[in-house]
Amino acid sequence: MKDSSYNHLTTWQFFLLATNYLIGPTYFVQMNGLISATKQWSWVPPLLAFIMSLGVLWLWLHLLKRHPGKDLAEITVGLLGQKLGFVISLIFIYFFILIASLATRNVGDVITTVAMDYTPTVVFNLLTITVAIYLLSKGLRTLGRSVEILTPFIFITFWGSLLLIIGEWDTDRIVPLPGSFDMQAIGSMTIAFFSFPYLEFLPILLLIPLTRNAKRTRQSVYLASIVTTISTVGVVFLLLGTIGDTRISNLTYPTMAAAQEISLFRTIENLDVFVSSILITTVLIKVSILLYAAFIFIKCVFRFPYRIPILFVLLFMTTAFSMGAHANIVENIEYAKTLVPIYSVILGILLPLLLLIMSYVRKGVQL
Amino acid sequence: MNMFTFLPFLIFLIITVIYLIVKKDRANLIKFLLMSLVTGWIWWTWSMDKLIDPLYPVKLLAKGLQNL
Repeated sequence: MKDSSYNHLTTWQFFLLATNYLIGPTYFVQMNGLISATKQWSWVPPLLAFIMSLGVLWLWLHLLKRHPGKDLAEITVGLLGQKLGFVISLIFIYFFILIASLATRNVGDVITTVAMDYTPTVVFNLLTITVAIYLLSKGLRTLGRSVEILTPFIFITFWGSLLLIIGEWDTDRIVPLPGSFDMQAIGSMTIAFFSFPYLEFLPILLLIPLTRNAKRTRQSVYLASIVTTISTVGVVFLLLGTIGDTRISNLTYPTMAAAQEISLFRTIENLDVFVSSILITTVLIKVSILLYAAFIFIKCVFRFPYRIPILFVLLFMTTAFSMGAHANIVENIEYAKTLVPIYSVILGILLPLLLLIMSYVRKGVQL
Repeated sequence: MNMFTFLPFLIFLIITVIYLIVKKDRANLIKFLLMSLVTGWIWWTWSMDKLIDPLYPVKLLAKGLQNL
């Protein structure tokens, strides 16, 4: 799949994919935990997490810069050898499938909670994964072009629907109460935000060799992070100023609740449907990239030349994993604080650091 | 859930195995069967309502870190 011309991406497509990947389910999973823990100071953790992520982004891009034209799978197997490379690649594959299944489950949970109570979650999970697999079977260029068309629609609809709620704005709601600055809460939410979405950003590295201008692509990785941070802080302020931290603490999906508040000219109702469709689209992009990353690793490690059987294997695994990911949304929010930082640090920091050290140790090795 | 849920995997397995046998690609057939063994087990546990916990290794690690 990698060598074919239909997998070529332009820098603009790459930037859009990276931004959509980062934004993905962040607004739907992290907002409740973030605002209920840090109240009016909720804009601080995303900013701190972004500053921390700059170091990690440099680490990843430096690793790729040392091996131009190679993807992460080739670097792993080339630097660590067949045996150790195989083990580390399996860990990468596990994490990619795990994150894809968690992201898929988030869509299922949101839709079954907010809109379709009687439909089993597995229907939405299977739907998302099947479309992602179909996109991948057509090549990554199809995904790139789809994103080019969909992103303006996503941007206008998301911000358009949310800005309609601006009439409810009350500046007093964003003024911090005396003594509300909780350093411990800010610290724990910074780590949670740093892990998800920033450390989960690693699979995007597998798309960099598909673009032609490596330097501009590297710049667009940083730009995607900046856009995501600004957008997140904007959403935080909008939610705080309109719904208020007290109400948000009692809501599972505040972004969705904000959209539900809108009633335009008393005729246009249910704008949360638009926001749901945006969630499905962005998660679809995230899942596609994660499954592509897992696909590249499986193909490289097992040296299995057939594309469709690998994609079907991924379809079955991710669907089954997404069903067992957690029992309910409360558990999901709890895992975002406790378990996600653990696997994100392994995936985003420890493994790339190991590869970078090996890259310096085995300086002369030809990949 | 029941055997019916396992059927799609079984169909996929049979079609791919027949395809690889016809192509006389023995090396890749063995690799595919190994991959299917893991996938089949995961899909089977879900089909039979014994949900596999994908976060189990991470939970184990978290427990280990707490005990340190």
